[in-house]
Amino acid sequence: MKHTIRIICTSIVACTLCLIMVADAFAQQRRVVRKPKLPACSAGASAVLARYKVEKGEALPATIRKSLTKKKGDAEKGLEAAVNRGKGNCLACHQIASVQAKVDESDAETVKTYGNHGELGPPLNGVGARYSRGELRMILVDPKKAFPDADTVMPAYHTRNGLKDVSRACQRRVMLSAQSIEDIVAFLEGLK
Amino acid sequence: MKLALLTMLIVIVSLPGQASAAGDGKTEAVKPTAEGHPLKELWSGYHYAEPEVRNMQDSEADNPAMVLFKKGEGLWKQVDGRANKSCASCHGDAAKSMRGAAATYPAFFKLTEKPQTLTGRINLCREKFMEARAFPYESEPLLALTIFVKRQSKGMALAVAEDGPLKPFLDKGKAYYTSRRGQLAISCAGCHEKYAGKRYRSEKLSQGHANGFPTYRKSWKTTGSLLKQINQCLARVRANPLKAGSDNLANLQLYLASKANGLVVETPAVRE
Ligand code: HEC
Ligand code: HEC
Repeated sequence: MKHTIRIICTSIVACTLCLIMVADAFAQQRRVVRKPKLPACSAGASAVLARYKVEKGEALPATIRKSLTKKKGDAEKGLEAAVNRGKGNCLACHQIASVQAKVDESDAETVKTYGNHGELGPPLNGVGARYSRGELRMILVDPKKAFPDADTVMPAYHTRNGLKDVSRACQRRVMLSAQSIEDIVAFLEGLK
Repeated sequence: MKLALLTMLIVIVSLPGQASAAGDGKTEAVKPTAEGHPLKELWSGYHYAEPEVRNMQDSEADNPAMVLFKKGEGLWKQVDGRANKSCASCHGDAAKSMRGAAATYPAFFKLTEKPQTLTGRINLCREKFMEARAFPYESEPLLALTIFVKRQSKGMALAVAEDGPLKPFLDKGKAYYTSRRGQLAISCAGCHEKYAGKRYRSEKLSQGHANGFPTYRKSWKTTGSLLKQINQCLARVRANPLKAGSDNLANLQLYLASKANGLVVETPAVRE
């Protein structure tokens, strides 16, 4: 009799333990599935906005003479930010001969990174000679001020002025950080 | 006087309808378009596609979306729901009853006094008359039935009503289409009207017409609805997606269809 009770008790305990474990496993699985996942805006997006002053330019009606950051722009990082699809993605619309030259047609990785240049905007070859540093900065920060008559499709990379219907994940963010802007400006200055 | 006006109206309305309605599904351009149209000529996405992609669309055997057409054909006759009916119980032979239907959708729906999309109409029939559950958006049966019904109008020129009770909805659709949106602040028109034929990174932009949907996209590796396409475009500019069954979507679909009036139905299209 005692023996049977002990067996029954042990099995009840074992069963309960087992059930708890199974339930826990299910709960955990559900936790993983139900985890609210807000899509990240993009690799380049920044929630910090630099202040800047718009002045009258030489080749363009507007320019931003002063750097947005204390740190000097790094042309190499600028190239990376310009081609990266989650950052500048400038190649979506612009051709740049010196970047195209990096493409090795037999290497899918370089084609993906440096190839497939779009055609919505003018080629950027020689922009470093056409515009001052401040004007390049202006074009990137807010191209509608740089080309006021063009009704341009070029995105503004460092202002939220006039934006509407921005996706939930990207609200309160600009497309590129101030440092990325300075880096890309340094890269563009080198396109002579 | 009234008669003269009416004839004039008919002439004006029939002017842009110069596209081939030969029924072979090959779209010629509509040119020139009627005055006031934002595009001078209308070209289907087919025109911008590579020959290899066009051949895929043209061949029933190679068009991957034709599998869904076949499934749709089966679903048309399949009894479902508490009313014990199929689409065919009410509409009979789709080749007759559905011929031309897709060319006039979205259409004004008296009950709601709003534009009704074809996909919405299919689900409405299911719920109201078959007493069956609506198919979820983007689900295989809904895509299949939409393709099956639309293909009954293959090669027919789109002829969506632009006046009358639909006008205010059309205007809303146009306002949506032409306003800049998202973090990139580009409108639909910004890409598809200004730059059709140009490359956006690796993709060649078309005029963005909806005459071939649901479409098999090679980049998707599947067949998708117009909503899927629109939401991909919206994601590109980092704007909020549109919701299935929403007024915004119906209005935009109406504008897209009316804007393409004269182009022929190509469903199911194949694109890159
Ligand atoms: C969606 C399209 C698009 C993207 C993305 C884009 N641009 Fe542009 N860009 C344009 C267009 C279009 C113009 C020409 C202005 C106009 O007339 O609209 C332009 C003009 C320019 C100019 C002036 C060129 C000249 O010769 O006058 C520069 C410099 C420039 N862009 C740099 C960039 C950089 C750097 C990036 C990425 C960080 C970028 N753009 C991303 C569309 C784009
Ligand atoms: C930043 C550029 C861009 C914007 C803005 C844009 N699209 Fe697109 N769209 C594309 C690209 C790229 C494709 C793929 C190539 C093609 O078929 O045109 C495409 C394809 C399409 C197609 C499929 C055309 C076909 O023949 O299959 C439709 C329809 C469409 N877009 C509608 C829209 C609508 C509606 C909007 C606005 C909500 C919009 N697009 C905004 C870039 C854009």
